[in-house]
Amino acid sequence: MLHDRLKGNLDLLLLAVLEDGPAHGYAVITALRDRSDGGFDLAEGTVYPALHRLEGTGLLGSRWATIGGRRRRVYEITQQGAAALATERARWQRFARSVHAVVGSLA
Amino acid sequence: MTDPVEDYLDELYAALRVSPRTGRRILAETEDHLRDAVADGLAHGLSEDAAAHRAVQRFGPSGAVARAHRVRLNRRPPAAAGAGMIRMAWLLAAVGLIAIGVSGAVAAGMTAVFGHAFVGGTPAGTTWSAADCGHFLAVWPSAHGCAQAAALENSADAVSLRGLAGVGGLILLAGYRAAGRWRGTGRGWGLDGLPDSFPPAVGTVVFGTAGVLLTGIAIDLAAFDDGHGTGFYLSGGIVALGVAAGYAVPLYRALLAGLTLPAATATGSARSAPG
Repeated sequence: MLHDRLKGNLDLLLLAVLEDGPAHGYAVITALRDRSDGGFDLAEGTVYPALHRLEGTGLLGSRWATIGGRRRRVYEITQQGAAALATERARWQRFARSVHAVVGSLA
Repeated sequence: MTDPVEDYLDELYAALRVSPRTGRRILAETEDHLRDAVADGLAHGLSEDAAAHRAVQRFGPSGAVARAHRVRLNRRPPAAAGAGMIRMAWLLAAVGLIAIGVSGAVAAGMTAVFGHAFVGGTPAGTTWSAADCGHFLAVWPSAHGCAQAAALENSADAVSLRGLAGVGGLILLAGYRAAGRWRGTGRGWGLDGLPDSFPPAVGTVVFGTAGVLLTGIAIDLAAFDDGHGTGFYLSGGIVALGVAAGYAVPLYRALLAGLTLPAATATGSARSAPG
């Protein structure tokens, strides 16, 4: 069940992580794990196709950059991606409020 | 002792079945990721071997990762495909104009070696209006008659006008690259919205057809006429066939990459695999 929820919201999560600034794939996945407090236990390798897909749709850009002496593929949110993130974030917040109203307090 | 990271990269490579360029990028990113993960494991007190095994396990089975990449590559949104078509047409136009420019240089070489009639000459019996003839002779006053003036004019135009087209192609290409840099994707946009074999297939067909037609006309002129004007078409035909051959190489590689390769054995435990 968690897998399906994650699958449906992975684009939103990736865009949200990259909203903080450009990052390479490992940093994105680490941030995703850290910010979810280990809650999102992804097969890390399958995040890259999602990043590539977002790049293909113009929501992310990417370029090779030298970081720490190594050539890394760095991803960056585009203006189109930022707009999509704002829309999806608002949609998610409405959804979460509705679920919360039905299910009740988390505490 | 084998390196689990190297073994994993080998398995992923065998399982990917994508174009060489896409495959290289995926493998480069995967290796970066795994090396970072191993370094993290070492920093947390794991042995080299344990850190490598954990990195590979967290990355997920190579078969699942390869499958996720293939699903992504086969699921292209219409907008991305449309944008890819525009980028492809842009690049094709730039290459085409540059090829015309190069054919101008080839025509200049042919003129120098074989004379103006070979490039700019017209078949025997060609007639011109008085106005055209007057124009040719006005531009080339030293010519001995209308036919020679026309040959001089045509061969000069074949070089100068094609050269101008080449400059236009270079400007288009520079614009294409600048747009790619502005969009933050390096030297070019890439043609990600299209199947890997499509752009080189279009290039091969377009330039190959042009090359065959132009060369055919040149052979016809040389074999069944007096050979005048052969170079006009032959210069274009040679360059078009060269460009077609240039496109055929990536087409061959893309088609080769699409052939079935032995699937790698999946490693690591099953983990969540978002699509």
